[in-house]
Amino acid sequence: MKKGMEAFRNNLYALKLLWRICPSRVIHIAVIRFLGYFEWLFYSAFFMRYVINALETEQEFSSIMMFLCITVTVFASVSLYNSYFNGKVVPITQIIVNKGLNKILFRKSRKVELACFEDSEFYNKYTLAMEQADQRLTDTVDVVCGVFFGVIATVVSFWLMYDVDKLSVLFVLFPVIGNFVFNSKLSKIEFERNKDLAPHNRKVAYVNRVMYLTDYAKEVRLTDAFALMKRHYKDAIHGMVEVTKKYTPKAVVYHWFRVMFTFTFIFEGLLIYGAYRTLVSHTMDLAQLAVITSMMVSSTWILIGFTESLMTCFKNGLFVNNLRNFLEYEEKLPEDYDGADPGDEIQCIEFRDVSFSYKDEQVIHHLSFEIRGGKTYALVGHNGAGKSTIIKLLLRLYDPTEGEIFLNGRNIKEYNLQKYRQLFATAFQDHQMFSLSVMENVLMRRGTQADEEQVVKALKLAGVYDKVMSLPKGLNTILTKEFAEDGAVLSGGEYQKIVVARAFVKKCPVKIFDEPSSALDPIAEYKLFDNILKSSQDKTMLFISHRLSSVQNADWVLMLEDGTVKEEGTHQMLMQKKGLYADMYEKQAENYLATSPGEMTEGIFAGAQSSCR
Amino acid sequence: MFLWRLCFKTAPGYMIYFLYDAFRYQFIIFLEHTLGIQYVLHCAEYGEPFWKAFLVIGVILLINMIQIIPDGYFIHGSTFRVKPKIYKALKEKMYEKAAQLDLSCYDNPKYYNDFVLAVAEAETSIERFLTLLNSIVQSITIIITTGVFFLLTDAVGILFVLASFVMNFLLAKVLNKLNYEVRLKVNPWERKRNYVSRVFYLNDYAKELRLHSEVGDILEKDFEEANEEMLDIQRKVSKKRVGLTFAQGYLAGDFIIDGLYIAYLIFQAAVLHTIDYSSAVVLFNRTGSLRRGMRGIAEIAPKANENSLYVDKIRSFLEYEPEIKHGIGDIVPVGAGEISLQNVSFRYTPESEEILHDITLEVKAGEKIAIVGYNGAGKTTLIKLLMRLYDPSEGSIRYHGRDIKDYDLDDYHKRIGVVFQDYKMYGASLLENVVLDDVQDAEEEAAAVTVALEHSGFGERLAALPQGLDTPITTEFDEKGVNLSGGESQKVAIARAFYKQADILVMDEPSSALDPIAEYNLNRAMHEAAVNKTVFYISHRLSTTRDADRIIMLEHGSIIEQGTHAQLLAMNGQYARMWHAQAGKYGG
Repeated sequence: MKKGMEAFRNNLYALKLLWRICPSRVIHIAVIRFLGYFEWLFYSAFFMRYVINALETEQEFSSIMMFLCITVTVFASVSLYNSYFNGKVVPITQIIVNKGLNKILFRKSRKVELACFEDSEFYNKYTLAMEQADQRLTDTVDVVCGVFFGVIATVVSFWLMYDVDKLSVLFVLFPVIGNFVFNSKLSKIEFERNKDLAPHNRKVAYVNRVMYLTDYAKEVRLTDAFALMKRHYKDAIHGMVEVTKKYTPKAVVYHWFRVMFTFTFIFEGLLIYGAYRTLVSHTMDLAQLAVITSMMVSSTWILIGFTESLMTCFKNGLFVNNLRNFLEYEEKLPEDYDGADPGDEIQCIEFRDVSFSYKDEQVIHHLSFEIRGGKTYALVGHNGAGKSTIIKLLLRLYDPTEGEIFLNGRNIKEYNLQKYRQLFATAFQDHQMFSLSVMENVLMRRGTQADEEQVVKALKLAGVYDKVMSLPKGLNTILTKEFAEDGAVLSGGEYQKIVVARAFVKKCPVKIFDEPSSALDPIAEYKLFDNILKSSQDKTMLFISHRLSSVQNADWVLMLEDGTVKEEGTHQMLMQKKGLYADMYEKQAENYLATSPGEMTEGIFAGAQSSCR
Repeated sequence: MFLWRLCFKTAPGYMIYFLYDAFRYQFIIFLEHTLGIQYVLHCAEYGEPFWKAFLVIGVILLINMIQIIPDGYFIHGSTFRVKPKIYKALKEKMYEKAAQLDLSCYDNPKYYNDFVLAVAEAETSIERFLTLLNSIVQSITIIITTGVFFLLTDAVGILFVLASFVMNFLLAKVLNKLNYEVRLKVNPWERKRNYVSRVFYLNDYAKELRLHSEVGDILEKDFEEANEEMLDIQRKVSKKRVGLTFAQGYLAGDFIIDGLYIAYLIFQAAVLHTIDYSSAVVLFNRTGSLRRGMRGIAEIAPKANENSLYVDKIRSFLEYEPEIKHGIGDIVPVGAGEISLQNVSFRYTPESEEILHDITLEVKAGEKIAIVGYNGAGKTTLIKLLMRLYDPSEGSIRYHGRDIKDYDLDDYHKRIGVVFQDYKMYGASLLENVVLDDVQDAEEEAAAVTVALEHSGFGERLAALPQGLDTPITTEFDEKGVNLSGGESQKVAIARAFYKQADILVMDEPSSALDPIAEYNLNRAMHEAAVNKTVFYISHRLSTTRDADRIIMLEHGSIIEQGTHAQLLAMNGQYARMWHAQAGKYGG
């Protein structure tokens, strides 16, 4: 019952939402549903009864024709409206609904904090809500109207049968039992079975994915992974068969009862009953018998339609629930967060005893450090030491679980979020390109003629200018083949350079580079770091790199391990300290510095010569 | 037909019942709704004794009660069991093919799209085929049963239904054409719309959108524009479409049946008295289903056409003959042998740029070769040719003195151990992830796998796993599964190479994503794996390759320099320049 209320409320929410976006669609849906049931009832109950009555009482042929003409005209206009609805209202309002609903969804998805996207449970529900949301929203409302008018139609059709013959209504009890008792039992079985089948289905889907994704193609060819997948597939099919076996006998019994009660008993029962009344007790005339027979057919179908609508209503409730949860989600860190203007000068950024947990696992522990304006900082450390998380905290993509971050002496939470983020230009390691022109992909906004010079300069610094100019439309080439046939597809390294150009072009006090060179070859890497350092003289800069050679020139190095700063200082200071940093540096530098092969400890060929020559 | 053969071969009993079921369904409806009702009304009209009506209905009831018993078993039992089997029959064929497909097919976006579509549509096209088959049988049943009934009671009625059917059919054709045109026009805009939605809801873009809110505004504007364009297109055709829908739905349908035919029936019954009431009622009730049957037949052709489009894709995929063939050729000699490349050139497609030019290279058994060069110099392509993922466009590759094309492909692959940068973990047990084959006897392999894992440095972690080698990897299917970290899965990937005991070891930048310490450890593990094997190692980090027996420097698809580290430095060419760029900084 509680679930019923919940579903009811959710469906009501969908109705309200659609009403807000496109009220005319709601009205049209309601009218169409109403007319549909009306036509049904009219023909099966009223029309047939009238005509047969007229025939039996031997009315004038012309008066029957008159009646026929009137109905034909009435339904011609109903049909015209139907055509109008399907031919015009649906295609047009569907676009309006798509536009309106997606606008709301886009706004919301831009507003929720990044952590939501990374929370797989939230994200799953959210993608479910987004999937064909417009179509499903209108469907939901359609079903709601169906249920509403279905109730009315059911009551009216019962009443009409009651009107013809009081006892015949009792026969309707059969489909009611069949539908509600046995059908719900069957649904329960189906639900359980689907639950049991789910893991097997997932396995099948997984095998499917492995078999067609390019990522796996190489390995599938070089190893016997295919045989492994085949076995898993076979297991899954076998599992499915076992699950089905478990549920079959019960389902067969319920199915029999359901069909018998819903269709057979009422049909055959009413026919015999009707025949009895007309032939034996002579209490029913032919017109009534004809009406009763056609009424029972339509009442049964109306009833079935109604229960089906009701079931769909429950199912839709789940979709609406996801949609609703998403739209009503209270952002912990809203993107339009307002606050003080941070200005455009950086004196000092300070992490004070910051801790951060990600999915209940603490990744940053009591971290404290300071960044002074105009200096260059390098973050180094192992994979998973929390470097990228620190950048995300600094950009306020997350808020710390404990501790505070200060900018120019004020907690960053006090600043206007958008303005605060404008202080930073960031080049992340994972490069996402938009299906926009190169120029727009660098500027990340619509560009004007005046911006061109800046963009060219940034692309040159990033070392990708020549490549861009070799594209047919130069700066105006659309990237990705998403929907531009002549769109350009660049290599990973080139995309990375464009991301770096984004950071170069933006005028702001702090630049952040997160492993900008991971996909580049040594020469390109060398040049890039050179350019980064040159261009950010007198600017505050923070960069992450695994190549410690590029770290030497930073004003200050922060060595991270296990989510906290283990060592900090200039390169020289840390080298003298002979701690973690020095160890890491030496391991990397060793081979470059060693003069003869014998001294080497790194590299796969170290000391292996003698064995194979 | 292809699908029919497939389905019938996999599950003949099921398919026969399937056909019977479609027939049964419509036949029972005919029995109940036409004959049953007519007989009762007939009895009422002519005052026949009650027992006659009772008997007829009783028989129908009995038939009904019996025929529904196997139906439940069919719906809830065999369907669930047989369908996956039919899917499997088709999919296994497809997988088999996919595993043999030339890798170059994956590079060809058009082919790849067709391939993905074929795989994705395999189940639905069977499903569609079955639905179609069902509706054909149903329609035929309706037309035969009801048609005969009409002919016997009132043949003229068929003319009405037929007229409605023909008009409907013609109008539907015009309407479909119109809809198709609209579809074509709307398509590009819809793609744009979908792209924008995707950007907003994919996790990948979330970060950028938060940092550059203006991009979000651009995309929202694009979205709105696409919607406006679509609205425009729809508005323009709406009048024509409303007219056509009306003509098809009403004039060709309801008007003829509900208007003209009824008038005719009433005329016959009231004025001419050629038809009795009971027949008139039943005739009128049945026009609907006869029309449905005819429409069903009319819809078969377009639906079958649509489905055959997908089936064609599946078939052409299955009939594709890979250029690099499996299962033929000789066994590869065990033990490291000499590899020689003679004048090897390669381009991906005949039209595309040449990636490798005239490469000649002799590699002695057990030699350690490092391949270095800039991005896009052709390093990875060279390796792929060596592994025979592609065949060279010109020239030949020889191993143990024979062209590698003469060897059995699968056997040749068995001789090569590979560690890629983008290795994959599979949703299977740890043991299976190392063996990468269908393991028949886990006990037997356990020892070898454990040794391999220990060598790759995974030993400690293995000891800490409560389920040991049986630990499920990834949480894909098992909630207790273990998601290995980047470094850990890399060790498992290396263990694969150890386990395989291949004679050639290929490593393609296995360490580029690792931090210095992890890279250091990885290289030590690799060192152990390399003993007695011919090794090819691609790397950007010259420090890891400096001690190779020979370093090969590629540029623009050609070998420009080769020799030991010392020789190359002495040459003072490209390699030296690259070395100094990297090492110079450490010198400080």
